[in-house]
Amino acid sequence: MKALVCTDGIRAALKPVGLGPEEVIEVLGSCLEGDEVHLVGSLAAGLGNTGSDVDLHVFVDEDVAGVVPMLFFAGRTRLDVVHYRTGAPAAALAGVPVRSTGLFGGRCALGAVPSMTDMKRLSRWATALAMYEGTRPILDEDETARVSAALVRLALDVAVRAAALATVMTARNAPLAGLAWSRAAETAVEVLVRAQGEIFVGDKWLAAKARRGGLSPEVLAEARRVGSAAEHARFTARLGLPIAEPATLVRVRRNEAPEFTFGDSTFQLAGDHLIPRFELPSESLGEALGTLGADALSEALVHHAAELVPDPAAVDGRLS
Amino acid sequence: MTAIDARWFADKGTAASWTHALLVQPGLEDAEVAAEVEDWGTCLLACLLTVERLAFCEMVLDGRAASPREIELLLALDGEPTPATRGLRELHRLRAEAGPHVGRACAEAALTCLATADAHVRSRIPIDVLPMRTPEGFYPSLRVAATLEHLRKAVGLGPFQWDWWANLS
Repeated sequence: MKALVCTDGIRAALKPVGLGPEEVIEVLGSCLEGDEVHLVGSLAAGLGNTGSDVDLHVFVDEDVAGVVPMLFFAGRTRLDVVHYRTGAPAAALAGVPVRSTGLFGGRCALGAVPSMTDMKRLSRWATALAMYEGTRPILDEDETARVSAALVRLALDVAVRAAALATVMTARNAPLAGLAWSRAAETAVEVLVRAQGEIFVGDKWLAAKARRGGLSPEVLAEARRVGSAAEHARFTARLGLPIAEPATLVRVRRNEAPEFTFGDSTFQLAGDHLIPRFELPSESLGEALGTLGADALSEALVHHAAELVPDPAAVDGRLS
Repeated sequence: MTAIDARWFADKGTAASWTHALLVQPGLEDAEVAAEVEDWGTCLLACLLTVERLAFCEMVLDGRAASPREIELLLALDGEPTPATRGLRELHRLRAEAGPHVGRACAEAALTCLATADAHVRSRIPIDVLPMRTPEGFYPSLRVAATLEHLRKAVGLGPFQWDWWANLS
């Protein structure tokens, strides 16, 4: 059996936490059995620091019992290991759109993307580093390009949803509506940095990714200053992101839930809460706000009795 | 000695303890490490995201929790001001005034907001929340988790869905 040689990439990536791959292998022992071992997460994406975890994904041929992380320590550094079946990346890729269009010099997928959990995982696989020489990358070049476009679209969908929910908060004069608008503006900046190649998903790294992508710090400062719908509209227009009137880019859907009728009152069970039964006039956010009112709609959204989802066709329309 | 409502503790107390261990503690570390390496912009954002999680923890303790995801969480935070929501307002102000180059003073003020909100939330959880993601805290925290499971069973609750929470972090 030939000896496995650690890659230069993994040596460089582990430097911020002061570890070498040999120390990691010594701690994890048989948990790393198999050639298909990849460093994923912020260190692999070149964003980590002294406090980062060492996240490893090991691909094995046998069945694995769900996605169960195992935690180890090398000194004070956490080593997180997760085993996946060899076919997991192909399965996750199956739901990723093939079509894309140009946005901010990169590509943005057209159509709906898989769930946030799947996309986060794909973002880790697209930025992974192999532990050993000769290991195939998890995703090939074409697959990485497809995932990158989908991650840009995911950021765009998040930005749309954040702005739509800030719209609901404004309608009910919520005390934190200003903060919601500034966060919505930052999610718009995330679209830009992802399109420019910074595809690793992790909210806290926005400033680092923007810096690395050469984005002027003034853009982020401006996003932090956004505090209203009008300021958000001006900011995203200057950025060139086509999400004006975000309420028209989402749909409101009522989630099915068990109902309980007490005399004339009917409630639906949403999580641990009973909320009065409601009907939506259509999937339009504007109509839902008009019919239910901002307070009742917020209540329904907060308790998952209803949800706000980006409208793929409407967002595609803006992109084209 | 003060008696604790066992059912509340087994239900909301357990959820708040897990929230702190799995969502808040990593955020506290992110903010501290970013400050250590003088990445003030990342520190400021990490403080905001962590105070949001502390606000979620408060909601869990009050039985008002729905989703820890940021957008829904901000939508849910509309009640009486709490230490965490006051922290969020202060952080919103700090962020707006930070300018293009976030400086040490701004980040330190954000860290103070974070520490205040964290102290308050910890004081509301009836047990000491152990630092789960440290070599010395990991195994003791598993023992606490096991005891919480026994308590849940004793008061007629099912097993805690900790894996759902773990996947949020």
